Amino acid sequence: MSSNLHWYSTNPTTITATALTPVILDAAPETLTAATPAVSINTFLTILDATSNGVAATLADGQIHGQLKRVTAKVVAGGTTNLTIASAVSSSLNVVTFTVIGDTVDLIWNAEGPYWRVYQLLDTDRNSSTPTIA
Amino acid sequence: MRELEIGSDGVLFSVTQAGTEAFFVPVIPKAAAQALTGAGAINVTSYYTAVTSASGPNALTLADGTVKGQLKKVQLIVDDGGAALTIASPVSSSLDVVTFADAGDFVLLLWNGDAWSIIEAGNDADGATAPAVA
Repeated sequence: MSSNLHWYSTNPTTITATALTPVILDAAPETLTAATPAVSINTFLTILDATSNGVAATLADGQIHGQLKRVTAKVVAGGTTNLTIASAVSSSLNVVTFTVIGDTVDLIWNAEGPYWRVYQLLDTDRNSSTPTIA
Repeated sequence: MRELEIGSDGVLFSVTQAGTEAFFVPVIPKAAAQALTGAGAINVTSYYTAVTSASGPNALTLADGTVKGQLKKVQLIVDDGGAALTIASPVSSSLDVVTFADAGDFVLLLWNGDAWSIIEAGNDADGATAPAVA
């Protein structure tokens, strides 16, 4: 099933970017506390809670073109908190490291890649820090 | 001349995968944000409602959404006794009351055509806490 939008123009040179229709899941958020958990692709929001230990999470491939995914760090006190993306745009953009509370990454799934693209790094409590990606 | 293609199966706004979860194209009303002080009704005609509680806890209500995929964000921006939001049509009767206790508390809801589903809850002042949902 396809959910992507295709735009055509008499002047195609004016359109250069790939546009995806965002798709969001109707599902409750999840919170992960284990040391090496798999982030669900069946929810929009995943919260990483490193209260007791570091969290090295993994993100598998998305389910549908345009799927949105948000991963946020609730607690980072227990150790290193990061997310490894199985199919990233680039092997140099496949590990997100969360360093402060509120660090958040937003991704969109491009099934034609296929890959997850990070389209936003932010800190929800609006301090100067954001996650790093490498 | 431009053409918009919505996919050969003609389905754009509601895509169902095998299993119980469902995907929705998020829809945001084009309307100014609502500012609400004290008790009252959260509107469904705007995306964002900023609540200022006054000698709370204040009783808030949320009626049914109007379009599948509609997003609604409700946030307590000034706390004076908190506020309790009752969702008329929640996905579960055990998820129908959101208790805002601190400035910055917010919920993000998705209307699935039958019920409001909370897809994110948090606090953008501290990045870690969240309103209680019960």
